[in-house]
Amino acid sequence: MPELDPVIHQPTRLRIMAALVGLDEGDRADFTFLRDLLGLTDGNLSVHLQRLEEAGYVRVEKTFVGRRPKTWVWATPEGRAAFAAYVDALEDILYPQVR
Amino acid sequence: MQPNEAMNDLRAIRQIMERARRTSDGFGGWFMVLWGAIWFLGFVGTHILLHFQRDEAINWLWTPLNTIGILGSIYLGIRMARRARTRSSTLWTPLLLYWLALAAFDGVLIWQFRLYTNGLHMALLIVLTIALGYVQFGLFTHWSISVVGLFLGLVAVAMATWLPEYFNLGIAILGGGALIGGGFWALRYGG
Repeated sequence: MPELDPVIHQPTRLRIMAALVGLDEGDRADFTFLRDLLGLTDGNLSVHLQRLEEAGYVRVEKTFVGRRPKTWVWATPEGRAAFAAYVDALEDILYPQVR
Repeated sequence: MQPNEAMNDLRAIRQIMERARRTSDGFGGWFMVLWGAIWFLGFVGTHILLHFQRDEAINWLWTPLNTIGILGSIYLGIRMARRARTRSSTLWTPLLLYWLALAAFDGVLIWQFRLYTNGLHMALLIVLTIALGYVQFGLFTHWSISVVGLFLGLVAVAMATWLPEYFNLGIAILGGGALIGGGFWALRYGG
């Protein structure tokens, strides 16, 4: 049985990574865009982003647009690689005989 | 993890990735749908006005339509830039300037070569310039937009060469239709 990354395996964090990896490399998602896309609360998203950031899978950048705070989130190269490995592991479970 | 759980996870991953891509990077697609609708209305209207020899009313038709298109494009650019900083949303300011430069370039050509005396040539120049713009826009966003631009150019030249009396109607249906269809396709599959 292939090992599943416990950081990404959590359902909410899996969806967060899927959304961020769904964007092209170099693209960033606004925090509220991510929250609305995934139907999460601010607190819930923040907690999971913190966990992903601690693992080095995402970066969170807080800036200001004028006087309004803006938070940008994006997947790191390590995060993209870890997500790709997670998807490979899922496919290994689904199609063990192919690999 | 059981295989059915893995399948559910993979399905969820695919859906979220597609949704993220579609909703964050829809600038190109919605831009094409907007201008496709404007082209359809504008060129059908132009064909009808020319048929009833109401040439003087053509400007009254296009001025508000173009205004709606420009304001709509600005709104789309601002809305997209707020949601995700993607290749197309960060490009929208230089792209807007690029389109304005193309418009100014066309204006100079129309003025210097007196193309305003020939409605067909003027319309052909404008359509070809826009087709060129889409080809180049697609190089920075998604290839499907370049394909639409290429199709627009070919349709415009073909209609002007072989069916000039139906140029406006052809551009409305084929050109406007290609923009609308291409826009929705880009929204669905990316771009």
